[in-house]
Amino acid sequence: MNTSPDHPDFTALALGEHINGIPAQAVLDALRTSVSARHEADQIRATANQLAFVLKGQPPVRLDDARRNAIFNADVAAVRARFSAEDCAALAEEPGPVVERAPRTWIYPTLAAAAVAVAAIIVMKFLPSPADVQKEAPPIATENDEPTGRIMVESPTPNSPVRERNQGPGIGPVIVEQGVKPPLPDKGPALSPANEPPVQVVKEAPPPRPLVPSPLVPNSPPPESDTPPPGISPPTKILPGSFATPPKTPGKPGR
Amino acid sequence: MNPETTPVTTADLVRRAVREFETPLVGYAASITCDHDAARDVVQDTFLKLYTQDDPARLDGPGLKSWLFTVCRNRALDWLRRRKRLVSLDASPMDFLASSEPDPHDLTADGDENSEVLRFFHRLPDNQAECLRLKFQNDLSYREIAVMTGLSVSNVGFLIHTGLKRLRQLLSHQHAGAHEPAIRSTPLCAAPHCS
Repeated sequence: MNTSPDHPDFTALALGEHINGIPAQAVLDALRTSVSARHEADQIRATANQLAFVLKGQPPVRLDDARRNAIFNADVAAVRARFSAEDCAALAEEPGPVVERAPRTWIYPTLAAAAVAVAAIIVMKFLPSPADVQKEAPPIATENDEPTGRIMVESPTPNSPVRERNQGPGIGPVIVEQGVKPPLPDKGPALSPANEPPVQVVKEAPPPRPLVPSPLVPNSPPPESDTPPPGISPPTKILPGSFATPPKTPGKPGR
Repeated sequence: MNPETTPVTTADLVRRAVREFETPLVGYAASITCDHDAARDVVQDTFLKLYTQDDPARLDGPGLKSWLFTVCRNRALDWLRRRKRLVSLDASPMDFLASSEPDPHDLTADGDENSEVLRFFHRLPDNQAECLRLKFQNDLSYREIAVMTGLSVSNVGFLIHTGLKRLRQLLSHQHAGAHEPAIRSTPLCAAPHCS
């Protein structure tokens, strides 16, 4: 309880009001002991009494007889109907409750996050892990294995892996072996042209060899031999036993 | 009247309410509407609304006074709102601006202390003046005023404390001969004649 004279609780107690139903003993003690508090309380009471005297001394305004008789002789049913209609009209005039909706800017980030989560779940569930890929890979071909119609392409560099190319659908998976050159059978089963799968030669393009000094590079020496310059690999060599198609001769462009 | 021994009828309740609270209710309604005829209409409707109470014994007691003042206040404010809507159609908003001329009420004040109190009371903000009127003219408690106005008891106490303090300051300024600080509230009814 605030015992300062400039506080609403002090004014309330000076006017005889009980704060929260309990008279504040601290303020009452302050009123008894402190001269200034007692003076302040007297001032508050004097102003309040003066105001009450002025307000109650105003000329009274009363109901006229017609209104008073209308009150005493009122038809209760009519009065109830009238106030019921007024209440309905007031309810109809009142605007309905305004429902505050949160802005929907959160929808798009939420949908995006959900889509990302679903995509992550699908990837983790249906795509095999690298360990599974190694486990499910077929064994490396040995000498006794039948040729599968793959084309072995010699690596352009000695240390690069031998590359295999599948030559059509339904032929085994790609096997990449480091530095192993599988032996070719001496007499393989002859493949009839009808059974042959379409063959596509994988051949790397030869490096460009400048035959004349480049006009862009001044004082560039002409090439001395056919050996490629260091850093350029020789052209790919097609191994015997592979099927190659002759290069097309340039001619008229077909339709 | 003891509700336990005698059953209270609505007609009895209305007669007792009119006898006891007619004058304070009309005065209170007139302080809001600034119109005596409108205040009488409001008070008549307030008493008539007693007939719509299904349980008159519930109001037969100290709650009757609070109920009557609450209904009277709400109906007076409704009348004020309807009147503002009607006035706004055919009156310029400039009509309701406070004039810089002295208030006629101030000019008629004869200078005695009671008139000064009333003059300064009319210059208080509406919420303070209403709480002071309910407290000192109609003898309502802080709690009853809080129920009527929808404010908290502490807020009512603050408004009464501030209003009384302001009145004392104005009166002391007046006694000292100093120029009173200019305070002018916007009246509830916003009518030119009601300050």
